[in-house]
Amino acid sequence: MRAGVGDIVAAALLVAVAVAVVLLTLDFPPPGQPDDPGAATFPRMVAGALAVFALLLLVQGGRSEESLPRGRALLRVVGVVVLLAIYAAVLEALGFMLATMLFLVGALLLAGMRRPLMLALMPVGVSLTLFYVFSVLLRVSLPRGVLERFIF
Amino acid sequence: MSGWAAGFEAVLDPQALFLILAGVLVGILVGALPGLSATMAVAVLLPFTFALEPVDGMMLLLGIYGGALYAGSIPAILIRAPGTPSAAATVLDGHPMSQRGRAGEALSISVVASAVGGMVGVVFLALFAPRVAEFALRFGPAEYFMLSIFALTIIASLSESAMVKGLISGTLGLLIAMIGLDPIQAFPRFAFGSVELSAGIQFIPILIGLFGVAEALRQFERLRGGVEERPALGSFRLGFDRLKRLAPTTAGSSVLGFLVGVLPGTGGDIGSFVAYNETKRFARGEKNFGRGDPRGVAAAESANNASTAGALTPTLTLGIPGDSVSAILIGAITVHGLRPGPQLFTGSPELVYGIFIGFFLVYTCLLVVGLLGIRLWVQLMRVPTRFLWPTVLVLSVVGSYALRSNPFDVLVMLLAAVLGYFMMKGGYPLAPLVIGVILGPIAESGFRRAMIISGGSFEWLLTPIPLTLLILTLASIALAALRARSGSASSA
Repeated sequence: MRAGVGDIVAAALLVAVAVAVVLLTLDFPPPGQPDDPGAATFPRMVAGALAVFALLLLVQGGRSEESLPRGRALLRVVGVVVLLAIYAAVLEALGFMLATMLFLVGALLLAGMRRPLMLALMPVGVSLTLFYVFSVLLRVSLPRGVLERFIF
Repeated sequence: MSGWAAGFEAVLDPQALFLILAGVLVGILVGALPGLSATMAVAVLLPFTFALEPVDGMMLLLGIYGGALYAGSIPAILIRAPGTPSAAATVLDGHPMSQRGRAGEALSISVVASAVGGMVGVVFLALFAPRVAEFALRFGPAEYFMLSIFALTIIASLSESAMVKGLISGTLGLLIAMIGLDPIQAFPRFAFGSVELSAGIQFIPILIGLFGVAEALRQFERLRGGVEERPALGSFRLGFDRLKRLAPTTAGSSVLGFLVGVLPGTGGDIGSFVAYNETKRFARGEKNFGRGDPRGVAAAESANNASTAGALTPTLTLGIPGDSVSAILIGAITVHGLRPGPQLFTGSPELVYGIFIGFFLVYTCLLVVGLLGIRLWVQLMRVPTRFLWPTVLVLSVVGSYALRSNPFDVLVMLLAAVLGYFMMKGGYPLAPLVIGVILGPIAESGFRRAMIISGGSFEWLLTPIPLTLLILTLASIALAALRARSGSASSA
């Protein structure tokens, strides 16, 4: 079995990670006590193992690779990741409920939901329910914004 | 015996019992939906346990897991899509049964076999685990180091014919675990001056990212709707005769499943295939297997559930997870400041024995609820799951954020999700990575302490237990390499 493009890219990345790890360990302090291998030894051992496995990947080649998405499918995957990043960024500023509602509208649109009623009801219902269950019933703290102060 | 008393007291309490029932119901709901796996259910629903008592939280998680593990067989039998990886062996005979109009019977067998397998597994767990824990009290750093290495190689070598990819996955896990203070000198490694990174990467956001969000990304890529057509179900009835004929298979597979599960790094998916193959080998009329033999369904499902209990043995006694779900359970326990390992048996007997008792009750509950609601669970497959994924994502964010009220953890989850997505695309198993993250600190501090104790020499490798583990590690690699060679030779 020959290595495919995916294997070659993966192996190159992994070797790069291994080299970076070893380079970073050069600044680690020497062991604090005699006979301790020190803070740098174990990371170097693991990085070495990673490099060896990466080379084995080239020799042996992998199986069962799925092709990466293209076109609309790719847009949907990237879209979800971007939405999640924005969601995380505005979570504390907007409060849980407002941020969640906006995220859900976006994510439902990406999932192909086109019915306006569901696009309005589901985000409101899910964010209200989750906030009530976590914050009120379970006392798990979630960021509070305008909506939370107004309702609960 | 006092451990049992403490366990009963903790579990026989209205809230704990309610959580078991609720967990089983939620688990069945989630497991029956195609695409939502048992591992994902436990990872994404983890935040519900943060504010609960440890025992109560475990009851909920075990209920969810038991329920989802059984319910994974519903889409496996009806539409050939295992709702959970460990139901893959159930497909082999379950789906042919369904094509012959015997889906109802297959589903009933699956409930009974799951429950019996789970119960047998839990009984063995309760018998074995305290002995193992007692023995493990003697383990020192050298033993823990070699155990970690053994666990990582065995899980990698059993990773669906992709040993190198499994090893890479496990090694990446070890590297991730090294971010933050090192276990002996407390030097902040790979922190780049960041306070967040010096504190180390939190385990739970990684879990949620890998098992919840990465799968959600894949589902967004495909966007499958609900399943419209359904095969004829036939009768759900299971006669006493039938049960009697399936009893030997179920019993044998349960024991076998438990034994496979006990090995660190092996869980339900491997257990069910091993039991299926052995049942087939020893059964009369093996021609019927793969063509809708009820014994195939019984073997796969009972072994699957028994090996879950088996996987809890190394998890509870050594703190070394048996599979990805037991890794999540370790995460759930450490949230409460407890550490799985032999000390847990003396330090928190109510939790350990509560888990034994509670897990048995989960399967009792599953038997009753599963059989009563069987016609209803089948309808769940019509739910268009693609509109559920946005909610799964919200739960993932809640779970990552809520533990420390820190948006940085959401970022960690997102990065783990992207990594997990590419790993799944490339055929890299995710379980070794998670187990590597847990084992990293155990392996490193074991290694360094062993070196310090032995004055800088490697002679600790030659003491009996580490040496045995070293031989087993090499043997498991050699075996996997041999199998890979014969596999590629026969396919060429």
